Formats: sequence, structure tokens, C-alpha cells
Amino acid sequence: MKKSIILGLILTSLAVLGQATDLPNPGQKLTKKQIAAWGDLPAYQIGKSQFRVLPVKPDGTEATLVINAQGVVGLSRNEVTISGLPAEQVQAGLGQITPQPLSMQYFEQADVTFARYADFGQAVAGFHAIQAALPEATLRLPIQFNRIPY
Amino acid sequence: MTSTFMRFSLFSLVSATLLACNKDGGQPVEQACVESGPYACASGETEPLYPFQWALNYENSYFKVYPDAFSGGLDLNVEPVHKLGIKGQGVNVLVLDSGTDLHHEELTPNADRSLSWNFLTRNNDPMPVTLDNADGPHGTVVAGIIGAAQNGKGVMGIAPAVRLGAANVLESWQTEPNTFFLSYGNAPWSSKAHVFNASYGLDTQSMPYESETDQETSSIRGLKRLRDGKGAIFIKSAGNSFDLGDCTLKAAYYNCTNPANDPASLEPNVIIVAALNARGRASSYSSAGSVLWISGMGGEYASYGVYGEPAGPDEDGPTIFSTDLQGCIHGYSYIGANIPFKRGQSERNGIQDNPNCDYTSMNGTSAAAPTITGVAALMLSANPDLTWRDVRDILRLSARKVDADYHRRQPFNGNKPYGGLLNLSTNQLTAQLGQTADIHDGASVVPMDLGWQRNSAGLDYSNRYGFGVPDTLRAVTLAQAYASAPSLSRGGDVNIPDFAPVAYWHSENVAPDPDLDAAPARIGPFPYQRITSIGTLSSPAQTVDQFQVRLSGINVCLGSLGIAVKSPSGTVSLLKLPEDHFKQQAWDSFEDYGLGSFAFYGEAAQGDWEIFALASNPMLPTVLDDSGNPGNDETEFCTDTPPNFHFYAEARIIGQ
Repeated sequence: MKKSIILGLILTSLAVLGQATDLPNPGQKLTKKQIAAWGDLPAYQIGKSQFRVLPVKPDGTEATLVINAQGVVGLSRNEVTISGLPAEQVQAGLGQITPQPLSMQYFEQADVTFARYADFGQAVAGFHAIQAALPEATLRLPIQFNRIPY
Repeated sequence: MTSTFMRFSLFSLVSATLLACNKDGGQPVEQACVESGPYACASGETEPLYPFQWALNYENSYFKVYPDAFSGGLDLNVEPVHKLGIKGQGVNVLVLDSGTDLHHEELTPNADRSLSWNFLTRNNDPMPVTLDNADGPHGTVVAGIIGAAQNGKGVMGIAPAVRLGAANVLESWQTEPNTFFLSYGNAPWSSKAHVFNASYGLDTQSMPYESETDQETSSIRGLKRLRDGKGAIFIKSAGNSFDLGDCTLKAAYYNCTNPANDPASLEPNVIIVAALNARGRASSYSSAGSVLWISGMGGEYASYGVYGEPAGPDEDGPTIFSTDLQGCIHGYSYIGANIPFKRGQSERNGIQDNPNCDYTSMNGTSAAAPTITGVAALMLSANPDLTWRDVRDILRLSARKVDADYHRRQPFNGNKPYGGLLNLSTNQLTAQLGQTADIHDGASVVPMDLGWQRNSAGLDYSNRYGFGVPDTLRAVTLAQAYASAPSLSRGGDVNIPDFAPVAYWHSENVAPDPDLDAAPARIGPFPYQRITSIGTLSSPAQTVDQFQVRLSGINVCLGSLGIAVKSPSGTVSLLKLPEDHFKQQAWDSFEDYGLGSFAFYGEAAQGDWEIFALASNPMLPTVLDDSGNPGNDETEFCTDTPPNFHFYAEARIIGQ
């Protein structure tokens, strides 16, 4: 009897653990129970939206999985995009802020600069710092959800 | 003058003069054949599987002897255009999808590797790396519908002489950086595209529109830079969500999701395509909503018979024939497929017609979008100077109204009309047909579809069909007319202003949000179980392109909330239905959730626009069967929506 209870507890624990650590897919809506199973998650505010960061990464990427207020999983590449300003002005503006991006890439045709950060928290901090340093720029911190064939 | 135009001029010197007749009774159009070679000015009759391509020739289709599944329909009227020799020459089409087998005998002749990219192998062969039979073949089928060559083999694309490129965005975006950004004209290969086909999307979420985390909207707007500023044409599927599942319905009475849930669908330079079946009606699955622009051909499910010909017990019918991943292992045609044609076992006159499973058929708005992409390519071939706005306008101008009284019909297995009234207190759909006059402040019922409506600009619009089904001959004739009279062309961009606050509604027990104080505020319980006029937007003199609403809310049952808008001239449009799939997920918070409507296109905007909340009962499930039982006992709905709430609505008019 005791053995079966212990076995049951172990199985239950494994099930809960499994539920928490299964890699969710972008676009998937997690239930409140599934989100609770992840425990306390760091939360960040971007505009009106709040995102919590999951402690797992999609295979083979440095991307971050986040959960929005509705419980939907999104994917961030820890990037801030800056448009509406010439590359030189962006570069000058970013030189004086912290945190500093790991890398920057400028797409001339679109006139967009991608600033990539070490992690999501740094990207959010970078977003706010750039917003203060370059108020005339249009900033985005892209979160992608999913695209499926129709 | 472009090189394409010069080539056409040279062709015209040596080609025969042909006579094409407008099927709709228009005057015959006498034009020179502009094509040379073995298939010059020949229609698709040269291709062995052409009898199955009902979207190109309905009248002589193989399926014609199966009236249960194939009667009362129409095609895209492309044959007269093909007989003029206009087949997409000089037009670059980029298929953004799961990847495409450009080695296929039908695609190789038109393949352009400089217009292609494989994000996983990092070369210009867009062959899908993930060859699973669910999604792997998708891009190859789409590419064939657009541009399968005319070569005496298999099928023929609607624009069989286009240059085809492809990229495998759908199998790579999670692991590779910036796939969509690069694909939307921001890489050398994608910047060459004239027409983009996007048979994909996501319509089950309330993604923020124009918010700090929405990069796609600006990428899509960037497409207007392409083609030397004339703008690329971006054609996108509406979705396949007109089904019972997500709303636990007993019959598919209404669309349970909304194409507008995909923020990309809100951009005016994205042409959203619904699907039609071989009976001239909306395909049973084709997503409906007020952001639809046009309808293409998607068919039903082809579940029965040898080629998918019979209706079977559930109003089935044929789908769209095209190319497939080669061989009988990978692809939609494979040894385990459901019908003999897709297993490589079909034959006509003693000859196997798909022995190597290199051809298949596919349904969906995924199939419908490329039929319109093909039409757009034919238009650009006839007039390379058309802007993105011209192409969109001409598709609308050439469109035919179909299925005139559809809102009076009942869905398969249903006993109430599509346009029936929903009781907002009981959440029960009634058999009584609704109308626009039912939408007013204080009403307790709402029509779930208004059918075809004529707006004050004289344009017919429907949430199931958009402006209707294009007539390709008419579209190409108009394209040529624009070339003769450039003043018809509309360059420049539409006018996209910022959103303006319309309403801020919150409960008594919460402090007002100071950031929202620009909106007229109301305090008190959220107005469920009734229609409520929540606010107005005043517009100066301008002409409407699209009307948009953007919603944010906390502790508001989004699945109970519908939105309707009434223009100053009295046109009413349903932008969102109550009792949609958000209800089943107890979706009670949303930020910058965007909605749009083209039902007012061309109207004079000046005056007050009234915005209505159509709110059902959040405490009850969607009850649509006669016994009053919910469709699904496991339904999770908004029973625990707390009384303290915020609701904020903004609106804007995108002007022409």
C-alpha cells in the first residue's frame, strides 16, 4: 500500500514536472495550470503588454520563449528594431546607452537597424534606453507567434 | 518601357490575330496573339490533367457529369486571356511557404533561383527540408496552381509563363532569424518579386496590431517600395476556420474565428482571399469576415471517388489540381492517400494519369490565394505599370457577385440560416433572418451575417465573398485600359492616420486609467446581453479605404463581444461576431486587438461613424441545438470573469 502511494506520488511529480518542462510551441495557448507549473517567471512590460519569460529555449536557437497576458507562447530573438532614422544617427545614439547590444545589423533598403541583445531582459532594457535616447525613432521588440499553412 | 512590353510588341508583329469573347456578354475583344512557340495562344487543353482544372475551364470539366458536387459554379475566365497569349510573361512571383520543389517537371521551366531562398540550407534551392506529408508539399502545390508550365504534361498554372521563386519560411522561421522580414522584400532575392503569395496565417489569437511588439505590419508596409515604388502585390489566404470545432457548434452556422485576428490581414496592401467551391458557393471551411477582398477557387475536400468527384454524404466535391512533391513517398499524393488519383492508381482510357504521384489536388484558402495570384500575374503581364492599388481595384472592378442569397441558406446539418439572429441573452441562434436595422442601441438580438450589401458608393460587399470572384478577361482588359489611359492609375499610398479614442468603459470599483482619459468614459457594468452604441468617430471629408477598430480590455469576455460599425450613410458592417472561439478559451484580456472592414470602401467618410458592442451572455456557453444543450460539455467559458474591468476602444478611417 505504502509502496503504491510512493509510486503514485513519484508519477504525479514526474507528470507535473513533465507538464512544466515540455517545450511549448509559439502560438500555443497555455492554461493557467500549465503556466503555474512553471513557477515564478520573470515578467517584463513593453508598451501595454506584459510578457513572462520561460526558462527554456527552442532547439538550436538563442531565441527566447515568452508568454503574453493571454497565456499564448511567443518567440523573441532578443532584438530591437529601429526605423525612421539613418544608420549613423542610430549608431551614435546607441553608443551612449546601456545595455549595449551584442550586434547591430542595418538594412539599407528598409532603413531598419536590428540591435540584438544577450537575452530578453537586456532587449527590454535596451528598448527603453533607446526610446529615451532616440525619441524620434520608431522602435519594435518583435514577438512572433505562429504561421501555419492554410 | 519595360523589356516585357518590348517583347510583347515584337510578338505581336508575328502572331495571329485572335478573337476573345467576354463571357458575361461584353463586347468581343479583338487583340493580337502576343506569344510564340509550340503553345502560342493555346489554352490549357494541351495538358493531360486540364479536364480536372475546373478553376480554368468549368464548362468542359471532367466533373461536369457529377451535378451533386459540380453545378451552378463558375471559373475564373482565364481561357480568353491565355488565348491572347498573355500567360504571365515578365512577372516575378514569389511563393512564401513550406518550400517548393522547383525540380518538378512543371516548375523547372519557370523557376528563377535568383528569386528563391532556402533558409535552412542557405542556398537558392527552396526545396523543403522537412518532407512530412502534412505541410512539406504545401508550397509545391501552391506554386503549381500559379505557374505550372504549359508543356504538354500534367497541369497548367493560371499564369504558366511567370518566373517562379520560392522560400521555405514556414519551416524555418522558428530557428532562423528575420525570415519574414527578409522575405518581404528586404533581401536581394525577395526584392525582385512583383507578386507575393502567402497561403498561411494565424487566426486564433488576438495579436496586438501596430503595437511595440508588432514588426510584421511595418514589413508589409515596406512592400509598397518594391517595383520601383509601384508596390508589390501581396496576396494572402483568409483561413479555413468556418467550421464547427472551435465553437463547439452542431453545424457551421458562422465563422468561429476571424481573418482579422491575423494583424497582417488588416493592411490595405494585403489582398485577402476566400475560397469558392465547384458549386459556386463559399467553400464550407472558408473563413469569413470584413477584411476579405476577393474570392478565388479552393473547392471542398475531394474525399470520395477516383478524383474527388462525388458529393458523398456530406456535400463534398472536387478540389484544385496541381503539382506535388515528386514520387509516391512524399507529398499529398502518396501510397496511403485517400483517393486513387492521389495514390497514383487512377487511369483514363486505359492510361494511368498520375503514375508517379507527381500531381495532386489540394483545397483550402491556401489553394484559393494562388488562383488570385495567378490572375494578378496575368494583369501585370498585360500592364507592368499597374500599382498595388490598381491591381486591388481591378480585382474588385472585375469581380462577379455570387451566391446572392446565401445568408438565407442553412449550413449542412443545420436548421437555421447563416443570417439568423442570435439571442444575446440565451446565446441561442434563431431561425429568424436578421437585417441591418436589427443593429441598434438596446437591441437584444444580432444577425450573424448580413449577406450581400450595397454600400453608398454602389459597391456590393459580403463578409463571405469580399467583392466577389474576379473575371480574368475583364481584369486584363481593364489592366490594358489603364495602360492606354494612365490617369486611371492610382499611385501613392493610402492615408493611415493614428487611431483615435472612441470609448473607455470601466467598472466602479477600479480607478480610471489616466492614459486613457482622452476617450469618452463610462462607468458601470460591462453591457453584456445587448447591443450598445459605445461611441462615435467623426471624420472629415475623405473617401474610405478601410475602417478599423482597435480594442484593449481586462476582465472583458472577448468571446462574448462582437463589434459592428455604421457609416454616416447608413451602411452597417459586422467586424467581429459574438460567441466566437475566444469564448471557449475564456479569453478575458486583450491589448491593441485590431479589426477592420472593407464594406465601406469608396464611401464618403464625412460625418459620424457609430460603433456598437454586440455582447452576448458570458455566463452561458454557446447553445445552438434545439434541446438547449451546449455543443461540448468540456467548454471553458467566461464564468469567472471578474466584475472589475477596463475596456478601451479606438477607431480610424484609412482614406483612399
